[in-house]
Amino acid sequence: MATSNNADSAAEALLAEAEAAGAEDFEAPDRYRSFRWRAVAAGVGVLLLVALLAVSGWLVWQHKQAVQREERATEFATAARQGVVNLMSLNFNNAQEDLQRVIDSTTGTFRQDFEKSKNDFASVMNESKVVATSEVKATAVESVDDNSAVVLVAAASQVANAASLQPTPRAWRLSVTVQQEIDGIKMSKVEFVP
Amino acid sequence: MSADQDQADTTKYDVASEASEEGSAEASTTAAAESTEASTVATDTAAVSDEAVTPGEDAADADATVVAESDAEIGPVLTERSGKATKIAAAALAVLLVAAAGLTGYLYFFQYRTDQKTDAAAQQTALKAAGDGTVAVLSYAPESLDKDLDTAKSHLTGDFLKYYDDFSTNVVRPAVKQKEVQTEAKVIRSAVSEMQPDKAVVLVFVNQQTVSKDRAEPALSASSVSVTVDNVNGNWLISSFDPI
Repeated sequence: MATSNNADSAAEALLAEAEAAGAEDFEAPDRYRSFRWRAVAAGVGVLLLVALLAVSGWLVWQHKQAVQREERATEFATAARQGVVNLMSLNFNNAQEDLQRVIDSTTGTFRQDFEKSKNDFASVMNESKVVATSEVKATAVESVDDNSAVVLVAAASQVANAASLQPTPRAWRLSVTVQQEIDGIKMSKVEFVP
Repeated sequence: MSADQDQADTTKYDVASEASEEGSAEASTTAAAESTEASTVATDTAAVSDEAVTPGEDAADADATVVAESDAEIGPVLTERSGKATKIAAAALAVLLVAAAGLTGYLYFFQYRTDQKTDAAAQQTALKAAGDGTVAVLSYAPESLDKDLDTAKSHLTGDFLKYYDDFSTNVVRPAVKQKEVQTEAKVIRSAVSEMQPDKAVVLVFVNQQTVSKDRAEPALSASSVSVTVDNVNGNWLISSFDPI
């Protein structure tokens, strides 16, 4: 502003007059200080608000991640459970379908092995007249990474066959590796834990 | 700027008080005239600078309005309406701060802390406690029976502790005394089935080796147990032991 220079010199002149007249000190410094204090307080307030909102956002994000992790683990466990049930529920009367259902729950070399030996399995089933039903008693996800997990499965099955017409109960301890594929989560490895 | 507006109010009144305080007659008369001048100028924020340079104003008037103006550079001279706006803005900021603090607090205590209590590290702690407790419960020898049973009990809590107390007294002790039964357990694999801040369910695959006077050859057994552990004052203790 063109007037600023005028303002300064006028202020100085008035200040000189006031001092000459023995007046009290020019009050501008107090006003300045009062204004400055309020500006600082407002600034700090806004900064604090922004900081709190940022922390809140971060906390929300962290929680979302935690929930996602848990949901993912549950997905893997459910897939492992279903896979094991499919694997251990075999009825020789339904051999082809049952085996196909097993194959559909698998992936990788595990699947390839099944596919290769499908007919052999079918013959064995027919010969032994196996009727097996199974139930998964418990699952627990041992480890997870981006698109696979290792799930411990405790299962129980009732197996009846030509040798033993009465179903005999059997308990299984399995370590099932599951993997995310395009069409769902499939078993890529099933190990019996000795 | 709200701070400026507040400043402007005080400016107006201060010019007037200055006028009354100044001792010099010359200064006071011009200042007195100017205080009213400043009041009229005060109603027009934007035009302040323009009015100061309007030709026709005498030098003293120009000085006063310019003085008001120099303060205006610190804070424009404004009406009471601006003062109220400042107060509303300050109140709004305060309300927002309280709300934000409340939100942050809620998220921290009810979500973050809870998530921390069920994260991978917490799960490992619960897992280890379940494993150690399982081994303690299923391992004992005749020569160290008392110590073994006490060790086992130190891993237990609640109903299972009561049960184990009875069981160890009525079944284990006699068996060990009579048949010199000795057993040792080992956790082969284990993982958490369910996790909560104060309770976890762990699936344990345990192998047990048992010898006795009657049979020196160890009998091996492989089983699965669903072990529930409760968080009791920072310690995870077995509250339920269910073979599958």
